[in-house]
Amino acid sequence: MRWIFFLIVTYLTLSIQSGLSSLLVINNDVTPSLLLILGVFVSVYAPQTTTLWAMLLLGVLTDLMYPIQGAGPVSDFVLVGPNAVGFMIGGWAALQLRGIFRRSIPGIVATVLVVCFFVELVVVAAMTVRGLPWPVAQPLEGWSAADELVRRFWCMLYTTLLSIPVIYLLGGLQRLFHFDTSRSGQSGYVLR
Amino acid sequence: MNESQDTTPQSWQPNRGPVAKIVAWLLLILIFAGLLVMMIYE
Repeated sequence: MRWIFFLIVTYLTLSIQSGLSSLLVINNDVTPSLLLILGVFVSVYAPQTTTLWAMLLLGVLTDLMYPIQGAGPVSDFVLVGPNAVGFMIGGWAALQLRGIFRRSIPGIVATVLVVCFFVELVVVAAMTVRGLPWPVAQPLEGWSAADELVRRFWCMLYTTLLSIPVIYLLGGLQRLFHFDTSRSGQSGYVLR
Repeated sequence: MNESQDTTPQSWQPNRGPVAKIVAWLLLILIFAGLLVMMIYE
């Protein structure tokens, strides 16, 4: 994969996700993750280690972009880890899934749904583990795993829905990514 | 059969030496473990 092009697309995606956040948000707290869609697109085409590095980068960016809201005397803070780990596990899931789903728009959208499910579960699990009596017992103020799971379920559906046009657009740029596995006759999608 | 119609890739892996592969995986695993520790203990 051509990393420079990937970084440019990542920067643009991050800008769109950040800049249009007030436009894309539904009900004040349901937001889509365009970076995740980009990650899934890469994981469908790129080799294994490339996929995991790309997912790691996108996960760290997501962590840096959304600070955790503090409550009481605790102000908002950035915690690097939950999304980064979630994205990496999601990337691993996508690698397993590409043997199952076809490289078509419906196939990639289905992968987005599954990967998003993994990411959200890992993030909620990570936050919940902090509140357990062992090993750290530092619960986040105002954290409710059930509320977060419901909110993130809607985020997952929203991201999946939004992935249809985004994957279509990214498909047009596929040649520029220069994936190692691309073959001469292989461009665009297999719509069968 | 026309070659261009076959969309199944022969291999997912690029041509890379064994040492480079091991280093890349080792780094990934180390970073993953570091992130796990950081998100719980930070």
